[in-house]
Amino acid sequence: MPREKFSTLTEQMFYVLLCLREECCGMDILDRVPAMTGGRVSVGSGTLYNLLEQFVEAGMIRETRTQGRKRSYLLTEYGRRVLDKEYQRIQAQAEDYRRVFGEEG
Amino acid sequence: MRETKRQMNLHSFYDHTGIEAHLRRMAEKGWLLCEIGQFFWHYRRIEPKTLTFSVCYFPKATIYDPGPSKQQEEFYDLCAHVGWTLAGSSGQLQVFYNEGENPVPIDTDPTLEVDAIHRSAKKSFLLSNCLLGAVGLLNVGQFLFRLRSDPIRTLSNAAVLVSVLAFTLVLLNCGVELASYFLWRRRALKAAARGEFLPTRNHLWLQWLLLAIILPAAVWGAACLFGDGLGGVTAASLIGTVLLLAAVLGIRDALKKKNASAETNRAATMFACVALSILFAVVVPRFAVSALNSRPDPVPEDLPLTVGELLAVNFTYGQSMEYLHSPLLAHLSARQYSWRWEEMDDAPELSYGVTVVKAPFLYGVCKNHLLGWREYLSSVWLRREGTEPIDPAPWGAQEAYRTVNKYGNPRDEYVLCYPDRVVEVALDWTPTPEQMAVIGEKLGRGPL
Repeated sequence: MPREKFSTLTEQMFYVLLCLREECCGMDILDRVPAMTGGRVSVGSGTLYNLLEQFVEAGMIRETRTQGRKRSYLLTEYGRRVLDKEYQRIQAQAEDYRRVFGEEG
Repeated sequence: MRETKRQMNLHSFYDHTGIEAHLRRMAEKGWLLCEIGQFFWHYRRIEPKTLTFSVCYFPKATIYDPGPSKQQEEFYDLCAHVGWTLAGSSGQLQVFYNEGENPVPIDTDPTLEVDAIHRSAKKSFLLSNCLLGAVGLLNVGQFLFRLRSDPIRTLSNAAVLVSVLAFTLVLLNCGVELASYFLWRRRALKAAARGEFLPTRNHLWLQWLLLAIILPAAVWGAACLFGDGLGGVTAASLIGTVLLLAAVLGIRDALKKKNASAETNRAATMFACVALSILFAVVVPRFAVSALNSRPDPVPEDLPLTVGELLAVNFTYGQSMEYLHSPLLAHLSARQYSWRWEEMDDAPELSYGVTVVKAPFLYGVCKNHLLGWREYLSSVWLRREGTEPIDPAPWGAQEAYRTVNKYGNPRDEYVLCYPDRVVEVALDWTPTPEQMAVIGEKLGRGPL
């Protein structure tokens, strides 16, 4: 059965949305994600372009301004809720891990 | 030293892995892709170096766009920001290169990549292959229908054989393209669900094989048609096809240069394509008719057998003769008919067909086609005829058959089997043994 779109977020989606807590454009996101994750996560320019389009379409982010060919975006309330849900899911996963391996960990 | 070069690209639309590897090899040899043309890819000379290429798909782009859209430019800017330079693009296909070591790939999410490829493929690759495959299927089906109803004339016609060979290859190519794409997509979606990218696999050998078959076959077919006095039709068809293609592409490119919107360009190009195709379909058959009409009528000496060689008569005859040949069969059909009103009742007519079987495995097919029961509409009623064996000795044949109607009454129509050919003869009288011998002598042996 196909998963509902954005019911869970990939790591790249998660960090793109996280970047958009503050208004920024695509190029900023390309720089911020690796910086934010110590180079562990990078988002490809094509992937980012597609994600931004899909997030706008889903109402998770909104376009704030256009400067020449640069468009800036910001997380919406709905996007924030999706991000929170993902955070809780990750946290629940971490808690489950701790519960199982807590003593050893 | 040449600074630019062109090369035909035979990679499938979705074969990004193959294209990237090919472009990397070209860069290592000192050639960088600079333009993606309709049939050829253009390269410019560079210092040989190792470059990383990335083939991406931009579903919103079309081959009718006057230039990159704002969204496309935004995408290019994002790519440029991380070191990716656009090498060339055509429609949805976008090719970038990066001079850095281990650059971040343009596509880092396999699901999004497969999705972009599919959305792009639906607009171009899948649509064109489905349409072309349907045309191929229609032509192959038409050939099979003709083969069933008249195998001799169908297999004797070199133009028909070249055409069916070409369309079979087109059908095969479309089938392989579509099947391999959907197979790759199915596996790629499964891999994407695991977070993995699935490289594409090409079948370039098939493309080269098809090209290696189609080109000599087309040249041979054209040579056959020229040899049959249909050079005018062949030349008109070839020139017409090239002009049609050039005109349609020229209109599209001219509108792109004039900054017409993609929608306007698409509509105008489609309209031009349909209108010119109709014009082409009307003009070429006219050429064909005039070419056929301009061929001189055969003189009686050209006919391998005439009424005068069988009967001592002095009527004025009209005659027709048709000669078809292919590597499989050669078929000659001829007829002498009375055309003067006052002679019509008295002048005995003669018609015959000689089929020389060059491919022995077809001998049975040709013989059975002439011997089997057949039904056809004659004037206003349905005639049903078959054949029954008769003595072949007077004809000098291996086997001989005479046509009988459904009541078993014989007609003066005969099928004669010789080692390399099958002959059918229809006379207006019952031949004597001497006449049978002459018929056997004239039609049963010798070159056509």
